[in-house]
Formats: sequence, structure tokens, C-alpha cells
Amino acid sequence: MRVTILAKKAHDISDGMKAVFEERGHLVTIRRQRDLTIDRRFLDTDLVVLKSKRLCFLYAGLYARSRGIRVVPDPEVAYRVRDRILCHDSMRRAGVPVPAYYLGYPAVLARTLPPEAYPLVSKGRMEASSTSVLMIDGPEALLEHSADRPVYLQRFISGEHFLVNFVESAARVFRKEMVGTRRIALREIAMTAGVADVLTRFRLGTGLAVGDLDLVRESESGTYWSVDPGSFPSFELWPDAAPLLVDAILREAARPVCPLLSR
Amino acid sequence: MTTVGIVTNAYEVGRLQRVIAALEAKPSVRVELFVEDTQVFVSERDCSRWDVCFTKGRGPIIQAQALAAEAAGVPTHNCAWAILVTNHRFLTSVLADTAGVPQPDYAFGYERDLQFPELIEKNTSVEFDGKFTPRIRSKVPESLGEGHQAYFQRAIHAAWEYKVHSVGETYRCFKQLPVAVNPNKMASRVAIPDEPLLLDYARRVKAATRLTVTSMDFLKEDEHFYLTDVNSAPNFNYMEDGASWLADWLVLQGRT
Repeated sequence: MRVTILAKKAHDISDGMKAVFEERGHLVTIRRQRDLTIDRRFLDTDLVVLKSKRLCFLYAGLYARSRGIRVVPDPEVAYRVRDRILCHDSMRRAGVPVPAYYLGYPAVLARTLPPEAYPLVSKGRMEASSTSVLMIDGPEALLEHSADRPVYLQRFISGEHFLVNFVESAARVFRKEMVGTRRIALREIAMTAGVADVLTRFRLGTGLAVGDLDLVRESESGTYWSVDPGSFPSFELWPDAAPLLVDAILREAARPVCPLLSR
Repeated sequence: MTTVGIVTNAYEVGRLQRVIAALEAKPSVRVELFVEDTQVFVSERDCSRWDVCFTKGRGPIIQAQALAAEAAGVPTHNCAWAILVTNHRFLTSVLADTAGVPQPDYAFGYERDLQFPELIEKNTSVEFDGKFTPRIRSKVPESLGEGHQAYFQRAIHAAWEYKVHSVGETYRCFKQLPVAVNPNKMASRVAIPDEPLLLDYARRVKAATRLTVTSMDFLKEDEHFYLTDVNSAPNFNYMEDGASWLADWLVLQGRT
């Protein structure tokens, strides 16, 4: 089988997956943004792996999918998970607790939000990187944002922070020590019932075989809030995941597929 | 009483005045405006008091408000998904392909890789990249560098541009000189009788994108129509009865 992996970074888990695919007799090409033009020539493949959720790769995945080529993860689902507005809606439908959010222009938000709404966390609508995440303590901080672009502000949840990576039913859970919005330390812990419950809802709701969840267990209520889900994590914390991933991707690729954009 | 929620932006509010007036002239219709430039979207706010929601605009706040209305069971035109997929020209092209609607060859990527010698570069995202003036040009030589990724269509040489406006299941056809020939699109626009093939294509694109209120552009080359543009926020002021066409239909979509 001809496999195309669409990846943003060099030397990530894509290299490990390529090696495993090749051991099993598949032909693998890793493509990055700088060498990606999407037209009929892109269809010269049997399976596309969307390692990155960058928009050009999602376009490529949807294009391939529309022409009957298997794409893992499903590019529609990957888009929904990446876009915070769609994701919030999808998570609610799936019964995954998600924090409320505000969306508006900075000056309007600064003028309108009541003092008790703060603190808030600003996040890029389509950004997965933690570098776009900022704590907003009051209206002054909002005015530092670009005036002509809407700002996505998530309710800040105070509590313990967890990171979950999963490949089908295998999952690893890490506890995060947070200082501000920076990740200080990650320590692997055993799966808890609360994490397992949210993970199950997320997997059932999205149908994703691979993914990740950032969860915060709220100190007051004990609720596990999903604050940043993803459809293909870096697996930096699970460097030997490549064989599991390839198995999962091949199983996904063998499943029947729904029509494109069928929601 | 039917409450129509209109979700829009400050620019479009001006263009919607005739539609709002046509709605408010009805005896049992009330209009509530949500304007993204002056209001904040709150994910937990209830908009279930609306009987129907009309969106005019393409930005994220409008999409979020449309999603919230849909989640509350409010019929929403255009829905958030339709706005989103038609904001991305490449996605629109992919969906039109799946619907079997002919288009010029298209690609997303680098100009150096294109396989058609004459092209039109268009804004990749209608939401973010703003207005552009379509201009037919030759592909630049590879030696000029990598360039940026963009959405490209093969240039179509046509004497006329055809336009289909649609509200629900009703359609109106027009033709005008192509915008690439004369950017003043209204100078030459005339109504024409319904063209069955264009209506068939328009129906298919609407089904694929879930647009309910739209306009589409087609160019005709060598007796074949090619879809070149899909608009999720058309302007109905160009038609004398455009406002009432839309307002009458919207009220009928109300859940009460």
C-alpha cells in the first residue's frame, strides 16, 4: 500500500511510523507544507495519515477523502476537534464537560464582561500550540490583543491538570504541574475513573482511534473539564507508540467510511 | 408572533435595512439583531426564544452564534457549517466536485506546481483574506521563487458570467460581463429566464454545502458552464423585490 504521511515537523513520531509501515511492506512518503500542492497528482496514494492538523493538510485530507482515498484520522473530525468553536459544540453533544467561552472583539469584551467573569484563558481559534494560550486577568489584558480580530476566551478552571494520550483502548495519563500557563513537569499516573469516563465519551463522540485530551479536575466540583482535545498528539511522552499507531491506523483504514461532510 | 434573530456584522447591517423593514412590516414578526462588532457571544446564552435565525456574514462570532441557535433547535439560514465550508474556497471546490458540478481545474498550493498556464489566484479564505479583484494572468516562472500557498483556478475565457441567486427552493438567473472584464458588475447585469442546467448545478451545490440562501457564479466556455464562485452572504438589494423575497421566505421557516 502507498502511504502518505502529512506532517508539520521533521523528526517526530512520523519517522517511527514510516519505519513500521515499511517493515510491513508499505511504501511511505512523508510530505510537509513546503512540498504540498493539492491537485490530481496528490491522489497517487492509497492511505493518507493526517499527523498534523495544519489547514493545508486538512484540505489535502478532505480532497483525498472526497476521491475515495482513506484518510486517518477522518479529516472532518480532525477539523471539528481543531476548530474551538466547532469542538465546543461537538464536545457538548458528546457529553464531555467543556468550559463556557466568550467570543468577541477585544474592546467589546473589555467593555462588556463583568468583573466576576475573570480570570479567563485566551486561545487561538485554530491554534493547537500552547504558545497562543494567555491568562487574562482583567479588561486591560484584553486590550493587548489585536483590535480587529475576535478573541476566544475560555472560562478558567482551577484544579489539577492532566494530559491523556490514547491509541484505541490503550491510554497513558500524565499529571501536569502548572505555573501560570507553562507546563513544568509531567508525571505518569494510573488511569482514574473520572479520566476514563471523559475519555470514553470523547472517543465515542468523535470516533477517533488516536487522540489526546487536556483535562482539568476542578477543585470545587471534582468535574473533569476538557480544555484542549486533539486528534493526533506528538507522542513525545510515548515515544515507542509507533507500532500501536500503525496497527490502529491500518484498522481504521479498513473500516467502511461515511460520505464526506455528512453531518 | 415570530421572532427572527438576525446574526450579522456592522457592515451588513446597513445592507440589511430593507430586509429588516420588510420583516417588521409584517403584523406578527419581531426582529432581534445580534451584531458581532458590538456584542459578545456567550456560549451558555440561550437563544431558543428565536423562531428562525438568519445569518449574514462569515466571521467566527457569526458562526458561533449560528451553531448555538442550531443547538437550541432554531432553524438557521445559512447554518454554521454552510458558512464555514464556503469560507474555504478549496473545500467548496471539493464539495462541488462530489456533487458532480463542473468547475475550472483548481489547486491549492504553490504556483510553481500548477499544471495550467493561465490562472486566477483567489483568496483562500473568504473569512480572513478579504476582497480581491480576480485577474487572469500567466503562471510565473519557477525561477521567481517558492511563493506562497494559495487557491488557484484555471482561467476561463467567457463572454458572460452567469449568476444564480437562491432563497430556499426558489431561484433567479442573471448574466453580466465577467468581473475580470468589467469589475462594475451591475453595469451589465440583466435578468434572464431560468437556465435548467444552472439550476440543477445550484441545487447540487446547495445540497453539498447545506447553503439555503446563496448566490453562485458560473462562466461559460465552449458551451460548458463552470462554477467559479459560491457566496454564503449574497446581497439582495440589487433586486427591486429582493428584500421581500428573502423576508417572506424567512418567516415561513419559523418553527412556529
